[in-house]
Amino acid sequence: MNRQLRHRQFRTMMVNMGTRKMQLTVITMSLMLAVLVVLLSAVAVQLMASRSGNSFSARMLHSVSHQSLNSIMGSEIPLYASTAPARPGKNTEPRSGVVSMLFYLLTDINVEHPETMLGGSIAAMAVADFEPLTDFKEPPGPDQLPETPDRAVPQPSEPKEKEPVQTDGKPLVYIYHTHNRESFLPEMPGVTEPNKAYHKDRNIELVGERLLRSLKDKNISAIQTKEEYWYKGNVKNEYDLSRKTAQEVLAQNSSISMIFDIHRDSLPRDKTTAKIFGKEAARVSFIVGGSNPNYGKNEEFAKKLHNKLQKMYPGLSRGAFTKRSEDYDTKYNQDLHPNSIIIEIGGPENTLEEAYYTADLLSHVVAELIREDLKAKKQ
Amino acid sequence: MVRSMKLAAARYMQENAKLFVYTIILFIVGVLFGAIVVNALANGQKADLFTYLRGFFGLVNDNHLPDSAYVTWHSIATNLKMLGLIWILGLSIIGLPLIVVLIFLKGFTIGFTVGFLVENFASKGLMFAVLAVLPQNLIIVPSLIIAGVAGTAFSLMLVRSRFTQNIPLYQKFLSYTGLVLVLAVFMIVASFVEGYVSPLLMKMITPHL
Amino acid sequence: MRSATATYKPIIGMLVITLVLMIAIPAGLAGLLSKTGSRNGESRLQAAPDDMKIKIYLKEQKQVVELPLEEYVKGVVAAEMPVTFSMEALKAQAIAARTNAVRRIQKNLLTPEGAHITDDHRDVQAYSSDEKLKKRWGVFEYQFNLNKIAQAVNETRGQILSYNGEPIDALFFSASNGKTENSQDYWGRPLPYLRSVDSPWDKQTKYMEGTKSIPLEEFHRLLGIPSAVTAANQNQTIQVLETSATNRVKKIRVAGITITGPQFRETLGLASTDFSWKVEGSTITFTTRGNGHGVGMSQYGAEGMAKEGKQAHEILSHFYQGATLTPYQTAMKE
Ligand SMILES: [Zn+2]
Repeated sequence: MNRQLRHRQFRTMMVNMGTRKMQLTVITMSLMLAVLVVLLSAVAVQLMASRSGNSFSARMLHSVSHQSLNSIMGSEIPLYASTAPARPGKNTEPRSGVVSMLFYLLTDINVEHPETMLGGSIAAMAVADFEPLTDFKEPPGPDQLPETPDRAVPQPSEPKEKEPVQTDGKPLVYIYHTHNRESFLPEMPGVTEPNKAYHKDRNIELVGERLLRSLKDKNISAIQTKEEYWYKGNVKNEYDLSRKTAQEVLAQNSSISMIFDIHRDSLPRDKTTAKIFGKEAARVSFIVGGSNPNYGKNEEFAKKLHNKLQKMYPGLSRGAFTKRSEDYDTKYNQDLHPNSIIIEIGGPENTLEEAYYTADLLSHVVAELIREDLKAKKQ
Repeated sequence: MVRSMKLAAARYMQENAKLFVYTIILFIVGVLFGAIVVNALANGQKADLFTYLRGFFGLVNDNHLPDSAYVTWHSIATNLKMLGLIWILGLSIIGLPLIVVLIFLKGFTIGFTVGFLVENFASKGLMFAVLAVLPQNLIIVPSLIIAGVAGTAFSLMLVRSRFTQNIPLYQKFLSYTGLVLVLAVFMIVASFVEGYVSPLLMKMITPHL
Repeated sequence: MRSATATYKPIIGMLVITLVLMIAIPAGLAGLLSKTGSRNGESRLQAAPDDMKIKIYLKEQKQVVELPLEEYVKGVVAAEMPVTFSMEALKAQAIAARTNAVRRIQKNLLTPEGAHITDDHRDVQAYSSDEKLKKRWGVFEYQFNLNKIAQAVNETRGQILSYNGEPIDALFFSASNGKTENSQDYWGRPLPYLRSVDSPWDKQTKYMEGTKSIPLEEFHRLLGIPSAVTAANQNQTIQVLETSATNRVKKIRVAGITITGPQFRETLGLASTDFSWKVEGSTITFTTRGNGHGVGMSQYGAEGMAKEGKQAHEILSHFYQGATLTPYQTAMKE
């Protein structure tokens, strides 16, 4: 019964295609299909036959870039497109438009994203002092000291215990915060001025804690000290105070191979935020102290971190900078260890969550570097 | 109401049966070609893709994923753009060969992606393909095929209208656009699947990858 | 009207088939093509430009084949260590396997058939050819598992363990009873890098409570002793004369004859030499702790260490005390 019906169906179709013009179109379409199939078979045979890739088709295929291949997979695997590594700086693959994707596939030119220059406003005061070590041209903002009395006049502080957090195995990373009260506006309800973003408890130390925990999850033992330098010291001697802590920790833990003095930058949100995998993260920058006689080593370390970050999470790092100044100390205690640097995470307009996210991402990078280091030591 | 819709759908499919066959064959040829290309990749290309994918699986596992709303929005944009493109191409006569290319390309990307997953991650890759690539495509692929057929049919009808008088152009245009709009709704649903369901499904298998 | 509703079925059917095909075709193609072109998958992971070749005697096929060293190492890792183990454990295994191979080549130790080594696990280490692995894992898992093993081997390419400039005897076994054994207590030869070390991870394995029951008849037959052992006199007829520092049996007397613990173990097919027994009725039941001879690296210990985040070189320096990692080319120059 079904066969009869189908037979009738095809017959009715034949009747519809009776006119000459329709026949023409049917023929042209079938021809198109046939040509396509023939072409494709030729390519397919070429691809399958020559294993070493000598055929024309194979050579064309092998010249397709990784980004193009990634975007092919990205169009079918959900979420992949936003996570695949892209060229450093900005994601330059076409996000939409099949035609532009075709064009891109063949020529690696993306009509949607003409290369943009990294611009940005530059705080005049700081520019002369910062030498970018990397491509980026946005130096960190000057450390803004609030003009309110509670900073200028040292107040008796609540003594904070040193809390080195010890984990199993020898600690490899040391985290401390010379500007321990640097905080984030969202954590201070009612406060809107960025240069008032300082808090006694909810501050950058929490971000350091988060980094500590993320490292511990990866079996990397780390130490963090949380001490009050902000009130005890002033711009002339705060690093001297934190230096003492650092020296003690280093004396007791010779296994430390990286030292991070984690701060919060002072730039506005649009400079200190980046979308990593679709989620907002607080951008980081690395500061090297130019007054340290051996600052070359620290520069190397800062660059290493930045490059690794660029590879793993492009856009998260704003760059590495060396700071030199006649007026005040820019050693930043980095002479204590060749792998000692300042990491600025986010700015006053970021949230703690965004900074936590960045801490998680940083822990991956640190883990990678430690892993590579151990591998290199093996050889 | 439903019954008459079903009848209309049935009649539509019957009228355009040949086009359906045509488009489906085109799609499958694309899938086949994608799978062949996977095998012919250079070692360097394969190794890099492999590394990126592995990194991706790690991210999924650690939950470092873009948030679902962002993904859904992005997916809606992409899918609707493709659908819109087919719709426009159907409105012009010269768009026909381009519709062919589009359908072929969709098959190609699917064949390539699934092929790569299976070739390099074996049965786990296959599972991942079934859990991550298949679900939203269960809606998207038929929608695109139907859209391709509709576009081609409309184009052909435009050609026919040059030589025949009795064709109610405006009505046909309405039903064509109406069909595409219905398909657009389906695509939006598929995008939600991509944004909200796929991550859950993917996390089921990434621990083993 | 009815014909209309009936004729759309083939179209729907075709759409469904399309959905199936879009997964099935690439999957099938990948399976097919990888069968014929498995070389493609392996060469993708950079086959090393190896100078070193090794001759293996395959016992089943009764023939000697020559392979590049790194290919051989892959086959050993695949044969000796569960592929589900962590990457660092697999890497440690790869280095040990390579060391054993290089040692045989360097000292020109040959089997009766003229090969450097056999594929028999009891001789030095096992080896599984690609065909064997494909059969064992099936064509789908094969590629995936091989990729993992290839990575372990590639990332340790050329590395072996040496002591005093010579490649060591990199003995390994499945799981210990919590401690590995000093080499002289099992093999009779004291080697400085085969010292007893703690391997607490092994205590978590199922091998800590192995049992094996042997009918007394069989027991006597295997040992070649008169049927003297009964449930009643078991404490007199079977006596352990000497145990090693790690609680493993070194010497045991059964029905008047004295044999070594290892001999006892191998004759009866016991899992390890840390055993106790009980005769009940006409059966003797052995309880064993650990699996394998216990000397050198414990594979489950390696896995335990890897899970704790230790790396291959740490695993190796734990189990092979004092041995160092060197590229074999340097070791060969001596
Ligand atoms: Zn600061």
